[in-house]
Amino acid sequence: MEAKTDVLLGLQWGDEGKGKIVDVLTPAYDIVARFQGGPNAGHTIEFENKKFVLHTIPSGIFNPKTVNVIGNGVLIDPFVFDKELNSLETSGINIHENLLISRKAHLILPTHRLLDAVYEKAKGRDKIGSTLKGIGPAYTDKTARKGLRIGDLELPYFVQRYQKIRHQHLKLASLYHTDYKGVEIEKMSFEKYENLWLEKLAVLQQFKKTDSEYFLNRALNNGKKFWLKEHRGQCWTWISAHILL
Amino acid sequence: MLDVDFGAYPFVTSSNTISAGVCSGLGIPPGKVGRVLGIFKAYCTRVGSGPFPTELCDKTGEKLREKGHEFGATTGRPRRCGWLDLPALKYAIMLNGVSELKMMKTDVLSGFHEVKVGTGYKINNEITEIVPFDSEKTKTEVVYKTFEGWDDKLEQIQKYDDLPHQLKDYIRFIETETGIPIRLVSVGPDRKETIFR
Repeated sequence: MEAKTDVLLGLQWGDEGKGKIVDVLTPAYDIVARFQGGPNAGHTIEFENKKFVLHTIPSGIFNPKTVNVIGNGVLIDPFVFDKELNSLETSGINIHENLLISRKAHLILPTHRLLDAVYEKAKGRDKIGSTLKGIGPAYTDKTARKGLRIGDLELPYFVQRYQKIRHQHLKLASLYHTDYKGVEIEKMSFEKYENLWLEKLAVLQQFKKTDSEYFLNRALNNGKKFWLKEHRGQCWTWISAHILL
Repeated sequence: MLDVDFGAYPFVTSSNTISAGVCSGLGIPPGKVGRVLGIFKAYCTRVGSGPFPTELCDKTGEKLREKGHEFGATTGRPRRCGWLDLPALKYAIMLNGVSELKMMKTDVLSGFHEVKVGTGYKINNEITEIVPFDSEKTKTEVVYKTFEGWDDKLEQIQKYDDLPHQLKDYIRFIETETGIPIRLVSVGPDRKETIFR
């Protein structure tokens, strides 16, 4: 039996409470997936007097029976991802088993965050209210076919490609008269932040990476069979848009 | 409305956030999309710059911010607050093909003498529900419908029928105007503080 995907969306300018709703409705679904955005969105979930803020990881993570997918349309910042992971693990929530990351999802590089700050500053009074998480520059590179993807982490040329694009970004920043040495990210110097970011790539490496489009379509096409076998007989997949509209 | 195509450009995010984005952002064909559940707050907030026609830059806005703890989860910035903007909500419902609505943070509206909903924009002396091309630069006056407020604490309420009648009038009005049923009313941050219909 074929299954369909329910979609959950915010209809205003964000902060509508999507995190809570995903948490409330998750038990009725087998998969919770996120399709776009990145750490610019924060989702607050409260239960049993605990409060969690998630940026990258889908809110279905609190249900041990739900598979959570970070889709190809999402941007991942390893530094932010690691912070979320830590806050969940501190509360005893193990996310390794139930989280799949698309190989085609793009990475937010330290220099994307640098450029975000540079561009926003250059707009002066016309600033657009960027969250300065590097989302705009990372999507720009994706469209310009220069971005680095999660799947690239598994390939040998990752470091060279990283260095190349980093160099380009720093050159761009200098065009806006910004020396990266004077810019702070997460209240630390750019270089310190970049070193931490590079360390966190190893954390990301520990997770299951997948061509999630195959996983999801297989799940939808073989709905009943798949779910009866793998899960609990639910035929609805829930694809949740965690982000703002 | 922060969609890169349909939001108030350039005050938008850099991707498509509407339901169509599901297909490209996950690799799922359009025919496999089922129900579209749309979430909205019983009022309106916005972080950062950009047009916000129903914004309240007064004590009422401050009260909404305090009661709703409207400070950004990511940046900690205070959120701008205002009444529900119905033309904007209808626009989002149209673009996403919303099949049912979920109303959030309803408890925050308790304790106001009156509650308002923006029902139209007055632009050049004409009332319209069309979101303008350049909302930032278009001089817009909002037309409001005013509802009687309520003081009841909603957090403990489990059944829709037990909600104050003023709130039920408010909910009914939104359903009639949008033509979409509100199937869930959230009355507090905890999982349990949720009313299903």
